[in-house]
Amino acid sequence: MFQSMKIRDKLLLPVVLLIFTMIASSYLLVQQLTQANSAFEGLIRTQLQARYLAKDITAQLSEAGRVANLMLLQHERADYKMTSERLQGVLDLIPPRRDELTGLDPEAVAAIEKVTAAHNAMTGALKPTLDLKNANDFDGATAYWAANARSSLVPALTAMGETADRAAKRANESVINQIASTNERIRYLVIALGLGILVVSGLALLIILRGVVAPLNELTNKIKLLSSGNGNFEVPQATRGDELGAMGKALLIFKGNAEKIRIAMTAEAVTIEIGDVITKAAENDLTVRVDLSDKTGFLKNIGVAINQLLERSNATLRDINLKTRQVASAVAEASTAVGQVSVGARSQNTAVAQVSQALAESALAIRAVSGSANKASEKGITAAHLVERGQMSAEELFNIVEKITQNSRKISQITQVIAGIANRTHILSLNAAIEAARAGEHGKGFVVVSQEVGKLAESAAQNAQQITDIVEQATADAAAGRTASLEVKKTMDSIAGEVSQTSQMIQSIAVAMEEQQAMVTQIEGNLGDIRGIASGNAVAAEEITATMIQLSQLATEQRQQVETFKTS
Amino acid sequence: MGTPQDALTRIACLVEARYGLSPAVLEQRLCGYLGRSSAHDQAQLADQLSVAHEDHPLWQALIEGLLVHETYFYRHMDQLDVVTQEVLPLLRRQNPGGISAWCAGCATGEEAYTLAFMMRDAGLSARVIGTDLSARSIASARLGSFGQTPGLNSFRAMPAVAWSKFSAIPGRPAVWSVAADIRASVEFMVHNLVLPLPDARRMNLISCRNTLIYFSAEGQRRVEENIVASSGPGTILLLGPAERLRYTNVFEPLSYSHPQILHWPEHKAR
Repeated sequence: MFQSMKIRDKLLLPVVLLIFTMIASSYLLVQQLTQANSAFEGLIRTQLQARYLAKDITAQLSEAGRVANLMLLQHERADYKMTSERLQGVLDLIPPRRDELTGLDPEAVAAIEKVTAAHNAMTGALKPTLDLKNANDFDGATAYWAANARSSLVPALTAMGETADRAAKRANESVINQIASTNERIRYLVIALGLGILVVSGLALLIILRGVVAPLNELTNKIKLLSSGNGNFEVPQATRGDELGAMGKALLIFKGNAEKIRIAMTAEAVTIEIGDVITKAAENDLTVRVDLSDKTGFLKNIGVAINQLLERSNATLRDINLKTRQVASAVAEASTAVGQVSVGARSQNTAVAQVSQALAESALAIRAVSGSANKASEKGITAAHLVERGQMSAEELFNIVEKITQNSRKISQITQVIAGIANRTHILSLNAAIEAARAGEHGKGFVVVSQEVGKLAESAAQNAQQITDIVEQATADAAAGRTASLEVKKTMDSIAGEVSQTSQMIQSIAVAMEEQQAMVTQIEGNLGDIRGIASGNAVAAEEITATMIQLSQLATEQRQQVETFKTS
Repeated sequence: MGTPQDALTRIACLVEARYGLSPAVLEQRLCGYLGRSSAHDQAQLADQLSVAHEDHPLWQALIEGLLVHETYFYRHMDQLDVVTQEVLPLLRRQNPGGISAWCAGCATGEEAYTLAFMMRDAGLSARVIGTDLSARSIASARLGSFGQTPGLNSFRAMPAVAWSKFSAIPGRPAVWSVAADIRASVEFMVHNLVLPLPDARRMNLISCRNTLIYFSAEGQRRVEENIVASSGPGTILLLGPAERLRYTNVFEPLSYSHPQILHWPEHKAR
């Protein structure tokens, strides 16, 4: 119910309450002051009346004393009689005042008794005094007055003066007390009223705070939240019946709108972000990606699509890069290879030229060989004749060797005879030596002879041995010579056969050489073709090399172009 | 007097300066040309070349020794098929009055004749001009006789139907002559590709295949300049498989399936 109160009512309620409190408190204050004032007035009036009465009584008493003195001084009957009447009149004024004072000031009883005593004394002494006066006893009259009346006058005057003073003093005190007590009361009242107002004000404040400010603050905070883009809050105030409820409902609408704006702004921000990514990609940086963690809905789908595009482009470019490198290296290798082929073709060309030249030379050589072969054929026939003669010479040689062998055998026999003679001569010399020794001094010369003969025999034996050795050697040589001459004969026989064969072969070689010459001529023609082919190959290879160099340059350019893209 | 390497480098530089040919590509060929000649001879040759006129026999011999005349009829058949099927009909539509074609770097003329054959087969009236640096090759091309030698001869890739364009030469077996009327439609001239083509015609078709590969960067730049100078919007340019233009962007691939067939789009300015 409180929430349904309008703010105006909520504000009005404490104000009304406050005004009511103020009015009530003012009324109370005024009432209190009036009360205090009337009490004060009464008090003051009593005290001042009492003072006045006391002063009046004092004045009457004083007047009575002065009039009595006047009366005492007068000697004429008519004078003192009139004065005595005046005195009586003054004295008559005192009792009503005294009675009134008695009512007003109970404390003044003693003083009033003194006044009564003075009054009574003067009233009582008046007639005797007058009587004495009448009797012309003036001095007696004065004495009598003095004795009976005057003595009580002074204490009465004093008492009344004191009473008047006391009344004045009491009036003062009353005023002071009254003021003090009034002050006190007013203070308490003011404090109480203040407290009351405080309480009421507090209450009013509480109402305003609780009922208006707090919900306003809440709404303000929520509006602030909303303005900062945070729409994540509830608005319970919207159910209220007051203006805040209306504000809450409006805030809910704002919130709805803000949510829409937020979505729109988020979309814009995300679009800008995606735009940045695309810009970077357009600046060849393919490593950028749209952060998908904070995206939702179609923007996320766009982000995913862009990321896929970037991913694929990245992968493709990386792939192209790799392949381009591969192509570049392959082209470089192929270029080298083709260059080598080109060089090879050229050297092949040179080689073929050399072969061609060599072939021409060998054609000449073949011609020369052919001529030589014919000459050789003739020489072969001559050789056959020579070999025939050689054959005969070998036979003669064999016969000679044969004879040498027989002669050697004869010499060997002779030598054996000589060796036997030498042996026997040696034995003879030994015997001669023995005989010479037996002959003693006479045989001394014969000893010498026998020794010489011995030596001779020995030498003969040695010579015979040497001859034997020589002859044996000669025999062996002759045997070898025989074998050799047999070989020579055999060889000569075979040479004879071979020479005739060679002659035939040389003739066939001459024929072959002629054929060869024809073939070489044909080969020369073929070599010309080969030269043409090699030349064509070299030219083609050279053009391929130039193309390869160009391709390599293209691949390098492509790679550089691809490398301007930043890929991961 | 220097080392053989110095002379070789000097000659390569002279060749590059005069003809734009790449020293890197021609080094082997130059080595082969110089052979085993002495350092002194090589240095002397370099000196002589540096002062000799282009027509000097030393230069001519050097050129003949350096150039690679690799060519044959109907070379790069796959590309020529596209030319027959797509390019020639296009050229016919664009140039009803006849077609001018330039075979730049034609060597002994086989490719220039091939273009002439194809245009003849397509029923196009065409003038083909074939140019090459080698005077000997141009002379051979003008002769229009080609030997069917064993190995890599000029006929190695020729389709059988194309034999109708040739006639046998009496007394010379395995040598064939290009039909006279076709020979008359092809003009050959010696031309250094780094210099503008003297023929001021705007070419409708330029075939510069396997030629740019022999040029240095600066040489290629000058060749491209001259090709562009002889071209105009609509011109078709045929390049070899490994070649690409580097210094001009007026030519664009006719289709991405055949990047070596380029054309100058009609709307594109020089």
